[in-house]
Amino acid sequence: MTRIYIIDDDDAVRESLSMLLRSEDFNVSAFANPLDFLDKIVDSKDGCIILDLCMPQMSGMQLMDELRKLKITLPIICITGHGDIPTAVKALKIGAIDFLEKPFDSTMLIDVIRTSISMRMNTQHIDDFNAYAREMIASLTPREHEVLEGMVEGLRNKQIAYDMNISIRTVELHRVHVMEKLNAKSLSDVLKIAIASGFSYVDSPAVSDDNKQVI
Amino acid sequence: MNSRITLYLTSDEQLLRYLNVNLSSGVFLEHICNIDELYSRIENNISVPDILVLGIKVQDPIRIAEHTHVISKSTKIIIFCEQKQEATIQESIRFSPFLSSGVTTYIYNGQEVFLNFLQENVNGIEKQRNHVSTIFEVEKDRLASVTNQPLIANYLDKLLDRVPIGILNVDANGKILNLNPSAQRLLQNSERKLVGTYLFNFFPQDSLLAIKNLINEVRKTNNLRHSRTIVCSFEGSSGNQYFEMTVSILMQTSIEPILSVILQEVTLKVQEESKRLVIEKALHESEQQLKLVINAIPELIAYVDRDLKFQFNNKAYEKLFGLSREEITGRNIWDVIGAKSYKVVEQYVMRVMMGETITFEEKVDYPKQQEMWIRSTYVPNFTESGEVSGFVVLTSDITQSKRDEDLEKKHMIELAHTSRMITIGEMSSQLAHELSQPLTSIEAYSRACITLIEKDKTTKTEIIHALTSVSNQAIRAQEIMHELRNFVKKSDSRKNICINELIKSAIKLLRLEFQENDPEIDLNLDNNLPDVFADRILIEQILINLIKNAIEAMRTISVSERRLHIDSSSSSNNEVAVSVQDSGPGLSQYEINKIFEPFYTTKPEGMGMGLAITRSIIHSHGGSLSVRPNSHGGTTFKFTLPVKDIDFIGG
Repeated sequence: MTRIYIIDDDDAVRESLSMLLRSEDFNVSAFANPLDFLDKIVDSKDGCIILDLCMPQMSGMQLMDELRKLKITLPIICITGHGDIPTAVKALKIGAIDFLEKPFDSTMLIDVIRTSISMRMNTQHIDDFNAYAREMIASLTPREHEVLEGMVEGLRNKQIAYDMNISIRTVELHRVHVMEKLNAKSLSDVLKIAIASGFSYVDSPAVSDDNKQVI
Repeated sequence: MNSRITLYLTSDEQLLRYLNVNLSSGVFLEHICNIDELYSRIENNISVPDILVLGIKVQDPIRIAEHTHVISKSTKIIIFCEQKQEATIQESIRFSPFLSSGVTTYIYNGQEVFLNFLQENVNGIEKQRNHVSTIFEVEKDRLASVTNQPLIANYLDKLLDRVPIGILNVDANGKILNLNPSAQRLLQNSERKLVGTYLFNFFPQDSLLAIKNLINEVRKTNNLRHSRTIVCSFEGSSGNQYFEMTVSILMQTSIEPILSVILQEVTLKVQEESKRLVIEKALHESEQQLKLVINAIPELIAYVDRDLKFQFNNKAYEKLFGLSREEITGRNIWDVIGAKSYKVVEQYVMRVMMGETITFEEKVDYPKQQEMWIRSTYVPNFTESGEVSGFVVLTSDITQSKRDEDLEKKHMIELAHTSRMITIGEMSSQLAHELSQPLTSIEAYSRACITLIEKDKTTKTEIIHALTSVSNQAIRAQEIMHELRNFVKKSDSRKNICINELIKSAIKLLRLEFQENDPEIDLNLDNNLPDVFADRILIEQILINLIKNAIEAMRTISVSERRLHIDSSSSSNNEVAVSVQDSGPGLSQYEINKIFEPFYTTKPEGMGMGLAITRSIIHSHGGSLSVRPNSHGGTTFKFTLPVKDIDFIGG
């Protein structure tokens, strides 16, 4: 039986998501406290974890580290109301399968859950996606590639423009082209594809908590 | 009184007898034979003869006559002589220095003729003697009456001697005829020196001419009643002396009139007068200076009397109303400032007339002027009995400063607004997070309900529970929106607020920051704080800024070392103080000096406006903001807010 674990300290979000997923015939275990969750978690081939990145007792990142230590292989879908690119990049880098920014369309969450579960069942799926991602990235012009690098580093358009010595409007135009070419609906799609393509992402000290940018 | 006739005839008994018989009675006739006896009688004034007859045989009659006349001039001397001698004797008489008309020669021509001659002389003497006696009697009577009953004339004489007024009589040319002692004293000369000299010679050139003219003028008028007065002066022993000199005609003689001069010393009066003039001049000068000052003052200055009429006004008044002083003085206030403006100030006029000193600011509409703001002070003027007799008006045009004040206020509000917008930018992630929670749950509940109903797998209770939650979450979102809208509102709304509540509210708003950075928080709030009069949103925002800064300052140190102290306290002088302390690495002196400058920032994405705006907001509330290093190695920001309301512009 597919079981979905929900870890979120916001009661309304946790309860509503539980009800939503139950209505979709998932088994749901919801936790307000990550430590309670770590006590109860059982690894299985089926199911996934929906994790709020921002919680008082333990941050989502720390929890993911703990899960890796516990060798839990369940796919992790990160949700956050406080999304910024570096956080998203970091989450995806340390093993999250997807990243959703609140508020999100519930059908999208259900899709992501279904996809992640089925992808895990079929590893070919992952390879296919990686190949698809590499192909997409290859279609970018060098300029667009450069802009994408900046986006992945969490730079603002202004900063990208400055670094590339072009106007902000040109950067904006390149961004639109990047989104179109990668068939991405959101920034997290862009990041997912970039990471899947093995994008040379460097966890540079410049991209730290001090330098947040809202996406 | 009888006449005495002495005959020195050298023995002519017959003639002597004849005369004794025939001369009128009362004539004492004697005969002297010895010349020495005659001399002795004359010298001793005993039985001095009225007529001395020297006989023809008398030796050296001229010598005897001379001797007699030297002593007794009145004795008539008759010298007998021969025809041939007469011319010689007469010549001797004529040439003698001692003899005069009282000596005659006589050629004897018989005793009858001589008798007649002698009788004629006796008669003449007696007639004269009678006459003298009558005059003497009259004079005696007059003297008697004078001694018995002092006359006014006498009194006046004495008075003239004693009055301090100098009185002189001068002739038509100004020559002094006589004068009283006061005149001598005043002219500082003796009578001997003064009489016979010209009056004006005692005076220096300028007075001299004036006196000459005066005398000439009075003389010409020829009118006894006419008098003229001038003031003249000369250098006396004790400085300049001044006199009032009045000249009039005393009496008119046939040729030239005699003038009377009255001299009165007026030195003291003149000195007093000149002193008064000096004082008056000084007063006039200081009044002129005062006028100059008052007229130079751009403020309107006026004095209004109890009938509400202008009594005095300065130039500024005339300039503002375009009226001359004459057009303002004596006119009622409302006629000058216009009925419309008077309506505005009437209440203050009433109050000042009740004795109150008032200062006020009002918007007025003076004639021929644009609407303007004035600041006026009315100061009542009290009479000795304590009634208000009028008041002083001091008015200045404060339109410009009022305009500046309004502009400043507008700027402050705009600044506050800008500051809020900046903070909103900084807080957008916080807000996005706040809103994302209810929106996520609303959407999820709704979707779940739809799915469950479609699948017909639900109960009424479950749906109601879900919808209730949806409603609650929608309300939660509304509250956040409401809070945001309040935050952005462009207004200056001050009221009494409790600073401790604001501190708690700010911490609540920053819970995300606290969750992420997890500093140990140490609240030390004084529960007996008075309320402060302030804009709630602005002060809350300042607290958010300062707390956020403190949290951010501690990012580089380990979580266990992050300590945030927030204190509130009330100092004695009606102030509430709040300090926010961090345990971060602290600021250098350079940074502390620069920290309130606009666009100075230590944060990579900061605009450097936060603290500059924070400080101007605190100042606009009448408080202060300071920064200093603390004992934890970090930084302490402390601000104060007054308990009492303070004007926006620190008035």
